[in-house]
Amino acid sequence: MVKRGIQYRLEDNEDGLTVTLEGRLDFAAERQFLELLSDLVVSHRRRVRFDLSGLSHIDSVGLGLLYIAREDLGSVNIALDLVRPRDTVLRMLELTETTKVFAITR
Amino acid sequence: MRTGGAVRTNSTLSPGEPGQGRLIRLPSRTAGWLDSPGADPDLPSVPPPLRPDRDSLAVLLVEDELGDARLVQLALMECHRPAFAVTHVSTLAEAIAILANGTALDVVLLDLSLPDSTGLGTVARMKDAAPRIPIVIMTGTDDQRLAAAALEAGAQDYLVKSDDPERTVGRAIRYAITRMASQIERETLLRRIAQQQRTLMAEIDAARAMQFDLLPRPERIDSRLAELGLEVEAFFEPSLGIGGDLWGCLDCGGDKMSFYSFDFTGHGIGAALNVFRLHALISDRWSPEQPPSETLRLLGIALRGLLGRGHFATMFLCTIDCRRGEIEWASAGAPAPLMIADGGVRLLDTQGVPLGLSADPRYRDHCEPFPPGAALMIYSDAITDAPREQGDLFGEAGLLALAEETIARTGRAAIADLIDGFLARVRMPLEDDMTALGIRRLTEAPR
Repeated sequence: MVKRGIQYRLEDNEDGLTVTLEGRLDFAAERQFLELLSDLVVSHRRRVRFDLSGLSHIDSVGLGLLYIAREDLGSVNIALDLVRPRDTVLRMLELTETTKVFAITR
Repeated sequence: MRTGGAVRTNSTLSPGEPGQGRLIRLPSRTAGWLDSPGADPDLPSVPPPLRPDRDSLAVLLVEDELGDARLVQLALMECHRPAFAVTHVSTLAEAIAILANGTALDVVLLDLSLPDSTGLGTVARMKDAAPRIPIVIMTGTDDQRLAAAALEAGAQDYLVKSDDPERTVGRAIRYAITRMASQIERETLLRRIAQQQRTLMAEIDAARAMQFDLLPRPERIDSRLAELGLEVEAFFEPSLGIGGDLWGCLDCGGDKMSFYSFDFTGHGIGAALNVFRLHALISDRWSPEQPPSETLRLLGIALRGLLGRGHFATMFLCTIDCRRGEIEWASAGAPAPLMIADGGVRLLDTQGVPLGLSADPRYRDHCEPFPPGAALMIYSDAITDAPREQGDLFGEAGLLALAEETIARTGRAAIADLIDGFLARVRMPLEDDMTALGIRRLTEAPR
């Protein structure tokens, strides 16, 4: 049985916070991700970086969550970057032109 | 958004100010759902619980041993809060006759060896005569197994006659009444829940039927498809009764027909309501001469602001021109359809921002040959996102491989075969709404 939801790790950097996401960002991860997001909103950092290298899959709900994260963090002036997506995740980001909206570093 | 109870008005706009048009939203006057017992006459109501703490309780004592009966009566006479009004009979027949008269009783004290009935059958017969009156069994010996069996048969408590009745009988009666009250309450609640469940399922069935009614029907489009020489195979299966997918076709007149498929984030009732919204918007915003990219742009603008945060729809829209032998399409981030032509299979470019995510969406039109014999498979992400038994996802690679295998085996890629192959390769049940649509140009030229 595949483990449901996401795991994440937080790491402080010089210019912000890196959140390493692992697992699948999909409908099953929604509540967990929104809880994480509410913590990030009050983190008082200038920049939050989602490291997607451990993310095996993102579905449409997961993509919507990234847009919600961008909106919520943006409202408190925290920049959001996506880094190191795997090919399958990058495919989804490209297909939906999310690559044009987010700063994505491979 | 949840709205509060108060009407919010702009302080600069006092109600009497002339010449200012505005919308005033009046607050709800009801508590919300009609789920109170009085609201739906079909729902069983919850009876007021029987209360053991009334001033006086009516007891039917069924006991043929006069000495035992006397002891119980004496014990009950000593009780004052509550006081017990005892009716004594010696046979089950007499007891049932009293119940049949409609005499109001709070509890039955029942001996298990009566002249006309013995053993557990006595409990069952009493239960049949008065299913809602609590029963306290009186046994001659402290037989735990018999007592347990009597409770199983429907009694609420039991007394051992040799125990001091003064100490035990009042307590047993109160306990039996309380226990019966909770049993009745529980049964009523279960019936109510079952009834509400049935109502909800009926509502969802009705919604599902309405959603299926949105789909194209053979009797309406077959004559046009025959003219155009198009064969369409469609599979549509919402995962939760109703869902966030839909496909449709739009007749452009002449030699052209448009097809679309869309998929909202999430599934269930919320996604299904959005399906109805977008279906209505398509009827309104689509026109036969408009390029697919422009239709998507208009739909994207219309949906923007209507959908909740993080919600959107992906959509594929194409027009097949059978005279020119071309397909023109635009896509809002939809799963890439399979183009099956010239003995090969490949994915179409479907890059584009999903509907509802951008305030100023722009789409590209693509065009390529679609000659007789060519086929297109449009599908929802339920297919590519489905996990295989090994745990990894079926993916675009899985679908391409399946299509190639199917063509090699059967000479074509029929949707029915692809779905069979797909379902055999992924873990069931699917957790997402699934649409698969195959559009094939028949090799005979259109009339």
